[in-house]
Amino acid sequence: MSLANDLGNADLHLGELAELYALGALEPAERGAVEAHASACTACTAALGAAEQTVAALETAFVPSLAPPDRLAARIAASAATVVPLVPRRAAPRIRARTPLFATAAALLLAVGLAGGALVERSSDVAETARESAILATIASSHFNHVTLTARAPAAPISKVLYARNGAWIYLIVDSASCDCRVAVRSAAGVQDAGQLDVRGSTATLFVRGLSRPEAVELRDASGRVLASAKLVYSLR
Amino acid sequence: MYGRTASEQLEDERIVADFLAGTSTGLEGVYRAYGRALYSGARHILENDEDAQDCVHDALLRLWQRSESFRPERGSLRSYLIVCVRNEALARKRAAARHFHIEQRAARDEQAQYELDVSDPIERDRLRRALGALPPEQRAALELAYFGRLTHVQVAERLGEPLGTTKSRIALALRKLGAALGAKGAGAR
Repeated sequence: MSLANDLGNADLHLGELAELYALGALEPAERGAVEAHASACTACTAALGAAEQTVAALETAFVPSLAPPDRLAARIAASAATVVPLVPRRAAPRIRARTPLFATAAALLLAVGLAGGALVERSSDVAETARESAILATIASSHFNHVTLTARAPAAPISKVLYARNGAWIYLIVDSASCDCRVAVRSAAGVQDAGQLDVRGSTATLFVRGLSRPEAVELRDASGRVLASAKLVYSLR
Repeated sequence: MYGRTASEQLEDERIVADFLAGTSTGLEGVYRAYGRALYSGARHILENDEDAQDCVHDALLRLWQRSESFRPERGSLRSYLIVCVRNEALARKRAAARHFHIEQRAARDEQAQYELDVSDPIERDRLRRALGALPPEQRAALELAYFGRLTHVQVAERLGEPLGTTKSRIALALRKLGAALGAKGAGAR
């Protein structure tokens, strides 16, 4: 069938194929063509999402809820620890933290000024919950893009950045339990240090707001060497 | 899903962020949050615990490895995962049916088996009312696709209608259902 060829035409969109995809009413080759088209078409991605939401509602209503066996959770945890993501994981040992990131002092909120009035929020454990809530509220109320940082050094940990489509904030997530890396934000005004990552469990994160469409994000080691970086792309709107 | 609380949305955002980051905690977090829904969907279609576990494990790992294929415009990660696992389960079921020449069961047989187990009767009543409000020809096409788990070609054959007409009816029916349920607009998170 000519579906794949049809969807390769940029003037054509999924149309009713979005609903057929979400319902599982397409053949494998058709599904592949739909996924390939959606990966490059924002409007069709949104249409797919709407159709998926309705099918998920059908599933909630009509599919009996059954608890999976515990061994499935164990199997997935084992795979999570051993399967190599298509985005390559680090090739070298993790960077060791030289000092604890947080003192055990009372609640503290430091505001570190950046060019353009950017603020980097840091806190102790006491303020952690409130800080996270504020970060999540910001992310939840925003439209954002995400991109994996490209490794620039062998010791680069896997890291990803979520960033507001209006360029107002970034949220960097690094898959490392012991990373004393710093984050730098590159913009037309130059490169600014955005602060050190906060280690939380097996990941380290940093949320930076008050930005103005930064062009790139860099992860740097203590000596300032760039470990990984990502270019941030914004739509024309 | 519809009618989620603010705290549920915040929790979802945290899960989405970790999953998209491609971390091991992200994968485990998604399984903790949505594993029951994903397993239930696969189990319902495959009618076998081991097959359902394989399906959920394989699909979830594949999606996690390619987490960048989920774009924010898509909307709900939960809905995306549910549909992906459903598609995976259907593909396995159809492949097995082709291999063993097993006839697909009628949709009503599948439903009757689980009639007493459904965990969300309020949501089901709401969906049934919305389905009942659809024009009969659209409802029939949609029900054969969803409950009957038929491809659009099979639905057209079953109904004896042209393929184009059938595809349009299925799609229109699902869009109307989504509108009736108050589906969020495109791109909403």
